[in-house]
Amino acid sequence: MVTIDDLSLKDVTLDRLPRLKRLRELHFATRPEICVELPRNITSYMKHLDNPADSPELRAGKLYKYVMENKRPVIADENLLAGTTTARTIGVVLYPDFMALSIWPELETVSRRKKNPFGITREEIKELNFDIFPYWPDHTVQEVAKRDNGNPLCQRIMERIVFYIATKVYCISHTVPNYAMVVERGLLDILREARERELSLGGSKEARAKKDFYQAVQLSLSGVISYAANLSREAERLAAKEVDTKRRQELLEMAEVCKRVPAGRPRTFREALNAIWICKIALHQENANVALSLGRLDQVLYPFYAEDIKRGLTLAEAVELIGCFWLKIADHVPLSPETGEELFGGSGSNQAVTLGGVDMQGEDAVNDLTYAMLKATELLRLRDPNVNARYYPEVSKKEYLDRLCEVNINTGATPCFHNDASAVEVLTGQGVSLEHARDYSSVGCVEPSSSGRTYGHTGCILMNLTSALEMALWGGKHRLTEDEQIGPKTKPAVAMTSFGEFKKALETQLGWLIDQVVTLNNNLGRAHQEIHPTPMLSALMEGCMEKGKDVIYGGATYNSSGAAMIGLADVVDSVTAIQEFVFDKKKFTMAEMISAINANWSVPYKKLQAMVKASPEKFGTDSRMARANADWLIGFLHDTFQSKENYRGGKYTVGYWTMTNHAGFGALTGALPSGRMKNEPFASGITPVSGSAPVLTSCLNFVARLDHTRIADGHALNLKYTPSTTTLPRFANTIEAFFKMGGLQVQFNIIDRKTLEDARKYPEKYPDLFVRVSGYTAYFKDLNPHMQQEIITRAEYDLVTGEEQKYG
Amino acid sequence: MFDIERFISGLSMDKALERLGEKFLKSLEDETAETFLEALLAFMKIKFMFDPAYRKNIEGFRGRYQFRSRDGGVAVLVKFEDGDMKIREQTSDDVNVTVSFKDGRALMNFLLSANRDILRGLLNNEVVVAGNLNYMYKFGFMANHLQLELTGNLP
Amino acid sequence: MTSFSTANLTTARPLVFDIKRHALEDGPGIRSTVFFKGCPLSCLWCQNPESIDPGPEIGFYPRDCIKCGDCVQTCPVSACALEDPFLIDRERCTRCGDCVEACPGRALRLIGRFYPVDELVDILLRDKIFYEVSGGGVTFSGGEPTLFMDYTSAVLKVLKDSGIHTAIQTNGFFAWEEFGEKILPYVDLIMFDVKLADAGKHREYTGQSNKPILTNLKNLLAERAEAVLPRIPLIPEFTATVENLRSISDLLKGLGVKKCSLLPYNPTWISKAENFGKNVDPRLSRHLLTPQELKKYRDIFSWSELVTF
Repeated sequence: MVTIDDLSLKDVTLDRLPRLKRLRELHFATRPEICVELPRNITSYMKHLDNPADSPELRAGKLYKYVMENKRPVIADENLLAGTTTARTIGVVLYPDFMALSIWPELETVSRRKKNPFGITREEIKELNFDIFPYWPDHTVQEVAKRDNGNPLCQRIMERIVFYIATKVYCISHTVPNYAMVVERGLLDILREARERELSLGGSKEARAKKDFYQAVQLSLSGVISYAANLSREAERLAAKEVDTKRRQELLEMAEVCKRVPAGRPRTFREALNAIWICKIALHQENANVALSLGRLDQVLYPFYAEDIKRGLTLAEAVELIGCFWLKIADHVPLSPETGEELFGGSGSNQAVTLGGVDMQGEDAVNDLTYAMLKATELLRLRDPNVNARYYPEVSKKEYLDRLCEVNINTGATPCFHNDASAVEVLTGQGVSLEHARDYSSVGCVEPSSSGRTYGHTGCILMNLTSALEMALWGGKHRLTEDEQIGPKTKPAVAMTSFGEFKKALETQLGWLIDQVVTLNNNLGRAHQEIHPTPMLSALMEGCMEKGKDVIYGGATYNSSGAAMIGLADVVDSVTAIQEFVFDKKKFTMAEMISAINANWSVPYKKLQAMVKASPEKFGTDSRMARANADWLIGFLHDTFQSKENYRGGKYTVGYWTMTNHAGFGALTGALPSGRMKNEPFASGITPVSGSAPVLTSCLNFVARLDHTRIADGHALNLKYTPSTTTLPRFANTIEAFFKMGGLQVQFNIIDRKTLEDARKYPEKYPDLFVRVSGYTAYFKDLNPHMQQEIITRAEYDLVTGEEQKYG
Repeated sequence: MFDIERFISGLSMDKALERLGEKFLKSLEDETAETFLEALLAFMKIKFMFDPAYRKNIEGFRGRYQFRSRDGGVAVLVKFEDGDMKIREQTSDDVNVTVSFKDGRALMNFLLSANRDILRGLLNNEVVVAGNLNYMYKFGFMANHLQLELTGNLP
Repeated sequence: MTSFSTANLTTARPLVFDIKRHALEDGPGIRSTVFFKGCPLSCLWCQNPESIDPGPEIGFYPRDCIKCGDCVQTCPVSACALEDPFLIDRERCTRCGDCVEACPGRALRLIGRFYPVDELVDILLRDKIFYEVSGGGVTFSGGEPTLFMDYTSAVLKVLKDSGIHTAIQTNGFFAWEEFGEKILPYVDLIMFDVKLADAGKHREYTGQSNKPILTNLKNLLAERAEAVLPRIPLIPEFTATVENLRSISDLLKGLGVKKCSLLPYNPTWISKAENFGKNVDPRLSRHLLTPQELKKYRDIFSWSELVTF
């Protein structure tokens, strides 16, 4: 319910919340440091205490109990919430059975590298090199999957980088746990249920497996409760030493909070926030945080907030607590070795919070807390959490959309906008019930997912569409891997006589690539089942308790796997250029086209390039040809992926969001028939190629009218608006129109090119400048040069004229 | 592969380390880095022999590496076993990891962080690693450490 | 009726030189604006110089030129020269369009295209939802849309049937009866230019007398005052003089006008004019109006609601 009058909360400022101001400054002044606590504890447990005869679930349950019990309680700053992901202010977490070993070669240089250096001490280097890492070379998910499947082709192909990435080698995050369960019941109640279910089972083999699962849940949750108790003791200890009475009082309150939650049901807003945060910390120990998302916090926390307001909590205090939570969420960063930085770097953990929208009955669910959370977002301007706003045309209020736009204008990059009407259609199309669909939240970048009931690993596959295009042009070979026959042998493009023939070859290569990457994801899923079940995540996921199954075995109510496609607009424009110029107008031959891209559109081909680039038949325009090709490609990808089953019996869904991968894959890819030169970034997400979609309304029309039910893993339409022209209500109008036409998601950078160019030159002047990448937000200074270039040259629309701004 | 024993015979431990270290550093500056692999392996081996702190890297470690140039000119099998390092000019399938490289410079570019040009390596399809990548990461640490130590750049 | 004739212009097929989508300054909300080619006036400060001549013209867009020289090879009368800056000899050019065909990067474009009514309507309806959410619609501008009464009328009718808000921007130089029959019933808003109060100056700077224009304005206000929005362009030294603005102000007040628009001068059109090879009168300012100047002019109209979009 909305009771506040001033939706902008103008009276709540950072100057009036000095704690947040100081914490924010501290956050930006702190260099991330590698933390060895988690790998040390896991390794030590595995070396000395693990019993390989136990089932995978039981092993995991015992391991995480140990990890949580031995996790150091750290209270290092004046944040009102207790608990830290690592023992550092901003920690880099190493997961030894995932990708921690990839940093091994760089241990002695990582603190001095140019982009995103991480602090590490000599002692920690020694410990990692001599004690921790040597245990793991044969025990990582990547290598176990390789060994179990005899180093299959699908995995060897991934190691060539340019085709696809299967992210299960990093973790299984990319989901929304059921935090409502945490605050409505408390962990002890969940633990009790697991115990009752365990005791009610007989002695059959199937029952034994379930018993192991229930035991694992109890073990790991008891570990979480121990950690909270340790935090409480630590707060008491510090309080006893504290001379400042105000601070002492805060610490004593903190001790009380941690005594109560997450074991018991929270009584206050602060307890509820801290309960969720401690559970999230626990989940960070179990899996790397890649888009482990928070769901609909304004809904989950509203009852606690409303009660506290009645008891006298002020709006400013509520915003302060939310701000503390936002800053906690940003207390760790992902590990990234240099190659990763160079190609795909600059990402945070990409934790999505979802605000607003409708409730399970379809009624407007925006409440006061929605606005308080928007205010905290506006004040702090942090990369994480990635704030996603839901809007239901006709149901949501106009003033809510206006306020969202205002925050976007003020922050330049957040929140992003989701259309409830389309997202609900997407989910019901995937078999989610209407009520559950309405209760969706965004995972990671943009992926709609029923909150707390879906295990959808929505980012398990990142596939480079242009690699299939290359193989279709060169009969199954790729320019990067030279003479190797990678894909199936199809007719060389020069010998093709019709556009249909070319499309057929592209379908063959795409189909083959999809087979490979699905096989790999399933192999990796089975490796997770074997060595890395996730009892804590399973405890907080609807369905697992009833089924007596870990999420990795299909315990969640809804199961799916999400594959993100990179290079959509570039492939559509390339295919369309081939159709228009080679087959329809016959302006030049396929052989000439191939020579032109082999020569990177150099001098003898400049005229062809100008012709191709100037054609209005482009993704994001009124072109019927481009639309038909986009519909065909999106349809083919959806149908093919949907025909595959994942290792948990769920379906594959397809999305168009790219994080920084469109720049990374672009840097590795040669010139394309679309007129794109080699190494240039691809267009991001579902966004048209920069310079190809000059009219804003055409661009929005084009994307909105794509069949979103075939874009079930979400899409990111990334637009840039010129700040001086972006004002209400015209900004809100464009979003409203886009949604009424069926658009699924849209997000804006509201920043001009000059500022970005200056920030590239003088990063030190812009430590906290953050931008939308494709789906999530990142600090501009952290992005690699390809990605910075992409953001700078990304189409920028002037909202007064509705036209793309021309530069250069 | 050159004969390490002959190269260091008659030299004191310190002198041997110094000479092979110089040879290794020199191989990095060379345009084609043709001798990079042999210089690296030789220096590594002698370090394991004489430097107990460095030897700790391979105590209890068992790993087999195949290095191979794309043109077939170089094929070296490196075995770590019981704190010892063996270098053989031969090929074997019974290895943890196989590294095929275009030339010495490509391999160096791939292995050493300080000399890295990641994009170039990938774009030119310069190095292909097959097998267990974690073994490669470990080898990468040992190689980088040598260069950092010689150039006074250890943290 | 005062004697004036546009017959020589209207016989031409109506050409459209631009359809501007997501237009925000041509009426309320988000609009599409159709710019016709051809105008009976030739205002010295015309910001759409490509709109005066009703025939097609060749436009040159330097950003898209790769200097391949195909136009030079193709031009049958040698009117193109690959110089820096690129040159079209407008005297020689016959506007045959061969160079446009030859240009690979569309740096040369034919300005002015005839759209069958259906096609134009199809384009305008594409953004219907933008109009709906913003209270916008379609605006006909120019050039002078009333030059093509039958055509404009046909398009307007279809739009009205689709429930779309319609507007025209006119210089007021039209035949009243025909306008009343073909246009007036189908427009929701008429933006009506009042440039100069003095008849002599009006003729000097626009090429036509203002008499028929003012008569039309009177008629229009008598018939549909609520739909009329007089607009006064502020051109330094020409229309933006205290004397002229006072006269216009008195005139409008006398006619019972309650609201009008002042259009501040924007010199960015000058470079565009030069792309079309138009000569720009050196008396025209190359600067924006200062806030002080703007305030001074607004004050003259303080009795009126001043509408901006």
